[in-house]
Amino acid sequence: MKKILLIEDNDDLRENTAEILTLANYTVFTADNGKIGVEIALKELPDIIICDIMMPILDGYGTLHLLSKNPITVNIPFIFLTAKADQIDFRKGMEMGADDYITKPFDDIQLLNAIEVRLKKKMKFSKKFKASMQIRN
Amino acid sequence: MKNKIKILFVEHDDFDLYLIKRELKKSELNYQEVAVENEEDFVIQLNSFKPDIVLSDFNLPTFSGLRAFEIHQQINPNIPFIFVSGIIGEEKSIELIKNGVTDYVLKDKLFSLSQKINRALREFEERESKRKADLIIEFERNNLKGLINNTNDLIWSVDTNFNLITSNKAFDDFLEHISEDESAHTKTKKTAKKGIYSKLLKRFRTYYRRAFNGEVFTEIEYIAEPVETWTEISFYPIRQGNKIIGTACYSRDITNIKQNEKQIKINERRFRALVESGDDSVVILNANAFPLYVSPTIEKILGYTEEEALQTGLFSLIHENDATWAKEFWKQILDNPGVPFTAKPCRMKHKNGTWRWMEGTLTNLLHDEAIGGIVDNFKDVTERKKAKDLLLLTQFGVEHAGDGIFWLNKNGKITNVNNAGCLSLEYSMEELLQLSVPDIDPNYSKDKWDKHFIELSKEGTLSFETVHKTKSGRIIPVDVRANYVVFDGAEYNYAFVRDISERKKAEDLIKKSEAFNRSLIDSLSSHIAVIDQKGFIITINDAWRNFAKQNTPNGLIIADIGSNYFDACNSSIKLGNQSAADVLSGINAVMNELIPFFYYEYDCHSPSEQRWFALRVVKFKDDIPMVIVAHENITDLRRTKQERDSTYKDNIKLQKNELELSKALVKEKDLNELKSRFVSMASHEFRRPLSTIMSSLSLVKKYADASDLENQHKHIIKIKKSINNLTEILDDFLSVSKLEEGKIVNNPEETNLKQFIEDITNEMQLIATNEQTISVNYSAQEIVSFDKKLLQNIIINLISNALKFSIQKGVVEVIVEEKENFINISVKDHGIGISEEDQKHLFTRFFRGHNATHIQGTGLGLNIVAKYAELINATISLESHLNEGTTFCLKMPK
Repeated sequence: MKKILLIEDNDDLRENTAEILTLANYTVFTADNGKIGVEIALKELPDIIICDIMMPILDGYGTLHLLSKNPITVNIPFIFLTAKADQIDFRKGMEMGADDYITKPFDDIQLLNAIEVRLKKKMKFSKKFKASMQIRN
Repeated sequence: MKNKIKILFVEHDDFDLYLIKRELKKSELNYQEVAVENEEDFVIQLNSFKPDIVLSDFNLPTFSGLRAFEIHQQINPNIPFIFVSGIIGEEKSIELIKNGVTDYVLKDKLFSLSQKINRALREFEERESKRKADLIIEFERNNLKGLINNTNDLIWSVDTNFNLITSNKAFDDFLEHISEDESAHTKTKKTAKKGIYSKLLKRFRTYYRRAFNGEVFTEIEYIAEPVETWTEISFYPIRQGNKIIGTACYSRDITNIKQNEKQIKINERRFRALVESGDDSVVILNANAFPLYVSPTIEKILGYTEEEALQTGLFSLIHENDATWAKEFWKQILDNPGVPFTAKPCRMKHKNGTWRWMEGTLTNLLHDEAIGGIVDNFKDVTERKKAKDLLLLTQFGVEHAGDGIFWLNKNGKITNVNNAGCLSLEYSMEELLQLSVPDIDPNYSKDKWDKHFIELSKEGTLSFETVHKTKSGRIIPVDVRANYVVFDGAEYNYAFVRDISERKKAEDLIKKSEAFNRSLIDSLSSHIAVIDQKGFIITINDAWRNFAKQNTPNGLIIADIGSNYFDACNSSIKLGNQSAADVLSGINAVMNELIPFFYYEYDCHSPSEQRWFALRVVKFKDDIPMVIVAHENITDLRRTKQERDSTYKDNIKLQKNELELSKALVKEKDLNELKSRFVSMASHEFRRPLSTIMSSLSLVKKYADASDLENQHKHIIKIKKSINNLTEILDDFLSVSKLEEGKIVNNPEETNLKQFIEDITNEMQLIATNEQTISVNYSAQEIVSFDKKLLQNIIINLISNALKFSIQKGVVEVIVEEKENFINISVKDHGIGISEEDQKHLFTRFFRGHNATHIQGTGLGLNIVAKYAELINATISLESHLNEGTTFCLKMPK
């Protein structure tokens, strides 16, 4: 089972999202701010991270920045799930290295698809990576 | 007897001695004795035993009683010596007694011995004490004599027969001295002395008699020739018992004392005369400036009598303006004894209440025993000061006069000139005093001057204009007033000279300005005339003249200067011209200064055209009893005005529209901004609940498929909650727009505030998390008048904020207090706080604190609170520190 880390400060939405993901057969870890999120990411090494932007203590941008600095977490796909729907915000998020950018309110299918695509891409990449390693060896 | 009597016996017969002793013992005489029988022992015992009495036998074998007595007489003659003998003849005994033997006792009559011894001793004692007293008297007499003889005063005494009894050395010398002078004329010194004494007796006989009558008295004798001599003579009667036996006289030369006294009296009289006559006054003051002495002249100077002056302190008389320096001056005097200081004049109060100027010289003679005060010699200088001031003033006036003042002698030479004269001619005074009139006045030659001076001497004064030439050659017009003066025998021209170049210039200027004014009023299109009090036309301008020519005779504008304007008006009234009556009364009102200005519009249609005129009447300034009458043709003006009036109304409308438009624009702009902010806010704040709704819905659908009712239900509640959330945001927004439109009004009603607050907090407690509590601390009156809706909104907003920013736990305190005329409602939390920077913008619409961006909110709440507070006349303030908490305080009037 794939592991998903969900970082979201709004209790209702975090619960709902976690519920949707759980029902879709993922193992879900949740955090209500970026700081806790980073800690869990380092501990659990999730397959994918879904993160809000506006949060107390450490916001989404900060979280992404920290994770991409760490070689252990740098390759974990990172999806922003945010109320910041402006084009500017979107660009900013993508430029920081996010793999996807989903605005609230979101459709559950949309979210699940996005997760699935990211996971598949990662799988392919890691297979390729392994293959190339084998060739080298 | 106290002591033992020492008895020396001279006896050779022991038996006799025994008998004598026995006899003495019988008489209980207390004695001690020594017995001798030869000369040698006798002498020894006389000197060593020192007997009180000697009892001697007459006949002795180796010695004799007479011999013993002889020795006794030599050594100690005063001690009683008694013979005790068997035989002594009557004759012999008398002889012995005569020679000094005290007594004798026969041996067969020894019974009388003790008696005789006692008597002898008693007599001896009496004799001895008498002798001692005599010695004292003698001593005192000598002493007194010495005293009397050593004094320079004459002392003598005279008996009742006028014989000189005693006299001292001084008296004797005096007689001697005079008799030496006298002896030149008389034969001998002695007779001369007698002569002098008889002379004295002649002079003093009456005095002596008075003394003999018992009078004690003193007389002073004055002798003018040959030397002034005063003598003081005192007489003391000498008494013996009740009888007067003479007089003691005592005379002393008091010439020196008398002469000194006389000198002192003379000095004092002179001094008094000095002090009392004259205009000066002398006062002696003590250190506190109170008079010890005042001279009588003070009455002349200040009007006070001596008695009054003595009770008045110096400073109480000094004028307050002089008091300060006077006190300092006084101190200076006190500090410098013996130094005379002259004070500058100061004002002192005369008894009659006027102030007089006094000038004084003060000397501190406090240390001088004879004076013991500060001598103030002062005089009234009021007149002098006035005269001096006047003189100074005159001098000052002359020196600083704007006009030049010249003293010219008969020859035209300048003998004196003041400063202004020098300045106007550009010469120094020294230079000018070398010059004559022709040098400074080109109009006056020597000859002309002479003629001028003769004329002046006849006329006394002359006034004329001429010119002066200054040092630099500049010619200045001057006005001269020359006065003929004879002073000290010489004739002078005393001339005042005034530079009138300014006046000349001014005169030119006036001429020019007259011409200028003339052309000015002539160039005006108004018809202008000046009319005097009686209505005569003084002057008119060209416009008036031309109009009058073209329109004669037409009522109000008539031509000629000198004709009467009032008459013209009256004749016009008679013709039925009502305007003329108004014009006439208006002119009169201005003329009499009832109104400052008269304006009147009237029509004056000519046959060819319609015309309107405006009349202005103004009074001349500076009390000149004339008015200026100006008629102006306003026909064109009237026409344009009518046109303008019609367009004016349109203009007003246009302006109104413009104003409304610009208002609308501002409103539109505000709305637009509000809208864009709303959109931005909505994009954030709407999305959260919408996301929840969306996700819950998808879950509901999933649970519906699985028939999981419980979870479906849970999510339906979540959806409801989120929709409520959305509604709240919408309400906030609506509140703002309602406020904007002014639809919310304050509608106060009396309510129990305590109950009201508790209701709200109870409701809010439901929203709070389990770890949050809301406490109420109410200490104010309960019934208050306020708008329930507005206050509810404010308090709910504040409490929900407090809960929201308190991070899940903590106490929110609601404190209601009463202070003066206000009720303070505070809502206090211990949450994240607000930074000082953010506090400034806190009540701005859509503003979110920087530490609160992640917390749900529209940024409208506090804006609404502030607006509502304003509506209920309350003020809202806050106190907050980051991470410590925030207190909002609503200060609401009762």
